[in-house]
Amino acid sequence: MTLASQSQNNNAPRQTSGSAEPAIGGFAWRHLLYLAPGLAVYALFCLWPLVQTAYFSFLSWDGITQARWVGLRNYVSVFTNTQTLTVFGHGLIMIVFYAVLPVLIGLLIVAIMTRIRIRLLAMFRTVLFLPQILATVVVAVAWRWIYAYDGPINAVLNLVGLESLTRAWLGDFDTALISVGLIGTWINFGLCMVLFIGGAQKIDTQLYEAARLDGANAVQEFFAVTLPALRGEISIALVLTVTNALRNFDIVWNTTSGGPGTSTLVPSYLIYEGAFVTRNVGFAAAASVVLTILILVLTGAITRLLRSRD
Amino acid sequence: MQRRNFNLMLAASALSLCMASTAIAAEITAPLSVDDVAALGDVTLRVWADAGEEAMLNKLIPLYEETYPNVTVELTLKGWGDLMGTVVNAMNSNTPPDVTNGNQGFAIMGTMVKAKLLRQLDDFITAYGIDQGVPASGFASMRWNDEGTAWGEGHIYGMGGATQPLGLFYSKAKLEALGIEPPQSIGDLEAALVKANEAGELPIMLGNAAQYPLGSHVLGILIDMYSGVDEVNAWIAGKEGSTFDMPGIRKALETLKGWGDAGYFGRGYDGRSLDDAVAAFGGGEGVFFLGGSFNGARLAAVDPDAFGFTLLRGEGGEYVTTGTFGTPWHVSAKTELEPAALAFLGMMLSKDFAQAYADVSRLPNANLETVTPTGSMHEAQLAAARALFADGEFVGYLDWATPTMQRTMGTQAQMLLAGRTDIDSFIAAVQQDWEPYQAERLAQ
Repeated sequence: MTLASQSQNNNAPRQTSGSAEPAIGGFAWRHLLYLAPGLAVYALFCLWPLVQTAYFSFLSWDGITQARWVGLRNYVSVFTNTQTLTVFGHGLIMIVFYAVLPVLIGLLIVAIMTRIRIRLLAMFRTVLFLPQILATVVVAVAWRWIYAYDGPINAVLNLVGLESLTRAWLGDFDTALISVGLIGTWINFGLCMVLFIGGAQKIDTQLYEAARLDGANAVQEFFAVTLPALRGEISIALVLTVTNALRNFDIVWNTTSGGPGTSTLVPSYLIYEGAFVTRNVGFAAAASVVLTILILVLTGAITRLLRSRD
Repeated sequence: MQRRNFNLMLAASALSLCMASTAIAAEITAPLSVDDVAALGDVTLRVWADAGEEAMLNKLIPLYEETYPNVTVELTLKGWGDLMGTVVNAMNSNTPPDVTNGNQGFAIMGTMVKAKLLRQLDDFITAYGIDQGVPASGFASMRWNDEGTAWGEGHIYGMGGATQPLGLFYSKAKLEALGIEPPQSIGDLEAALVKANEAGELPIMLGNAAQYPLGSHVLGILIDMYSGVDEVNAWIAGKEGSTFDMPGIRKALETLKGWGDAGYFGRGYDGRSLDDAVAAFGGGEGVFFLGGSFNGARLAAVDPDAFGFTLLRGEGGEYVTTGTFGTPWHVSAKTELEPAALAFLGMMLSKDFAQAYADVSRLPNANLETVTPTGSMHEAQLAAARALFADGEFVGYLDWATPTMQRTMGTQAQMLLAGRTDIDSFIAAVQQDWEPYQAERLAQ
C-alpha cells in the first residue's frame, strides 16, 4: 500500500513536467527532493514499522521462530478477553488523571492569575513545571517512597489520628490505580499550566476591562474571556496528555508492575509483556494497533471539538 | 516495540539456513588449550550478563584476559528484567553476544533452542568435567528436546555457576530473644511463626511490589513442603495429564492464606519492593525471610554472622526446595569465537575458580564441598546446598510452566491474601493459563 502510493506520488510531478513547461516541472521536482530525506526517515522509522505491526497482529509468533497466520484471532482475544478489556479500561481511567485533572488545575491557576497579580510568577512557573522535565524513574522512585507504608502520607495520617486510613497506597487493591494516576496528574499539570499561562498572556487586556465594565464577576469573566481564548492551548494540552495517559508505561513499571493483582495494568504494559516477556508478539501487535487507533480517534475528536471557529 | 523484530527475523532465518549447512559445531573432547584460543588472533569476546553476576565477573575477566592474552572481554551487564526482555532478540541478531546469561523455561531458553541459537554443551560439560560432583538431576532444566518444545531430557544447552536454592533466612538475634531454635521443618517453622507473632515481632519480612516473590518463591517453598517432587516437576514441564489441582498444592495455598490472615507478612508488603525488604530485614526488621539464596550476599554484606539460612524438610522428611544450578550461561550457536567462549565458561565453572564465587557469598556448583565461607551465614547456606546436592531434591520454578505464569501466580497470590479470590479460583486461573499453552505446545 505504502509503496504503491509513494510511487504514485513520484509519478505525479513527472507527468506535470511532461505536459507543462519544463521549468515549472523541474521546480516542483526539486521541491519534492528537499522533502525526500524527511519522508524517507519518516517512512523508515514510522510508517514501515506501523505496517509491520499491523502485519504481525495477524500472526501467532514468538518473535523469533516460524510465524503462523491466524487471521483475526489476536483481535478477537483483545476484544473478548475480560482482562484485556479491563486493562484498556484502566487506560481510559488514566485519562482522567493524566489529562482531565491537569487541564482543570492548569485552568484554575490561570483563572486566579488573571485576577490576582502573582509575585515571583516566573519562579512558581519553573517550580511547577519541574515534574515535567524530571526523569520518570526519579519521579516513580520518589513517589514510591511517599506512598510507602512507612512513608510521609501515612506519617501525616497517623499524626492526625487517622491510623485507620493508613495503607501501602501502591500495594492496596482499592487505592493503587488512583495513586498511580495522581503521579501522572502531578507530572502533567505543570505542562498544562505553562501552556495556558502562555495563552492567557496573549489575551488582549481590553477584553477583561470590557467584561469588568459590564459587571462580570471572576467566574463569568473566566468563562466569557479566558476559556474561549485558550481553546487552542487546551486542545494541544489535551492531545499531549491524553496520548501520555494511554501510553503510560514507565510510571507503572517503576511503581507497581501492574499490581496488586491486575489493578494497575495498563495497555502499554500489556503490550510490553506480550512482545518481550511472554513472547506473544501477535497479540501484543494487535493490542498496539487497537491502542494506536484509540489514541488517533480520541486526539482526532479533541482537535475537532476544540477547533477554533474562525 | 516488537516492530524491529521483523527484519531480524528475515535476517536470522536466512542466516540459520547458512548455519545449518556450515557450522555444525566441532565437538571438543578435552579442555581448550591456550594455543587453541590464541589461534583466533586478537579478538573481542562479547558477554551479556545479569547484574547479579557482576562481582563474580569482576574477578573472572582479569584472570581470563591474563590467561588468554589475545582475547579482550566486552561485558554488557543488564538488570534481570532488561536482560530477559532483550536476550532472545539479541541472540537472534546478526551480531549476538558470544556468551550470555539466559533463563530456564519455555519463554527464554525454549525459544532460543527452538530457533537453534544456542550451542549444545554436552561435549563441553564432559570435557571440562563440570558434571563431576554435582547431582545429575540438576541438569534437567538445562536439557531440551531438539524442537525446543520440552525440557527435562535431551541435549544440554546451558549451565549455571552457582546453585540458588530457595530457603529460609532467619535473624539469629531475634530467634535467641524469642527462645526459638532455627526451624528444620515446616512444622517447626509454623510453631516459630506463632511464637514470633505473639511476641509482637513481624514474623516474615516480605517485599512484593513487583508481584514477586509471594506467588513464586514463598508459595514455591510451601508447595515443595507438601507435594511430591515428581508431580510438581511434571506439571512445571507441562507433562500431559498434569494438573495444578493437587492435594499438596491445596495445602500450600491454605497455609499461605492462613499466614496472610494471621498477619505474618505484616502490612503494606504489596507496596514494598523486594530490594527494600531485603534491606529492611538486613536492618533488623522481621524474624524470617523466605527467598532465594541469592539474597544472601546482600545480607552477608550487612553482617556475615547476624543471619542464618536453612532449607526445610517437607512432610516427607526430605530436604526439598526450588532451585537449580543457577542462572544458565549459554554460548551462541553463531559465535565465531567458539574456543574463546568455551574457555571463558570453562574457567568460570571450574573448581579452581569456585572460591571466587564463595568470596562473594555465593554457592558454586563446583567444589561446593570445599570452598571457604565468608561468615557463618554463608557457611549455613553452603551446608544447605551441600545437603541438597547430597540427598535432596530440586524442584523447578513454578513460572517456567508457561511464559505468563509469573504474572498469573503473582496476581493470584496477591488476590488470595487480599481476600479477592479463593483457593478454587486460584487453581482454576492457573490451569486456565497452563492448559491452552501446553495444548498448543504439544500440538507443535
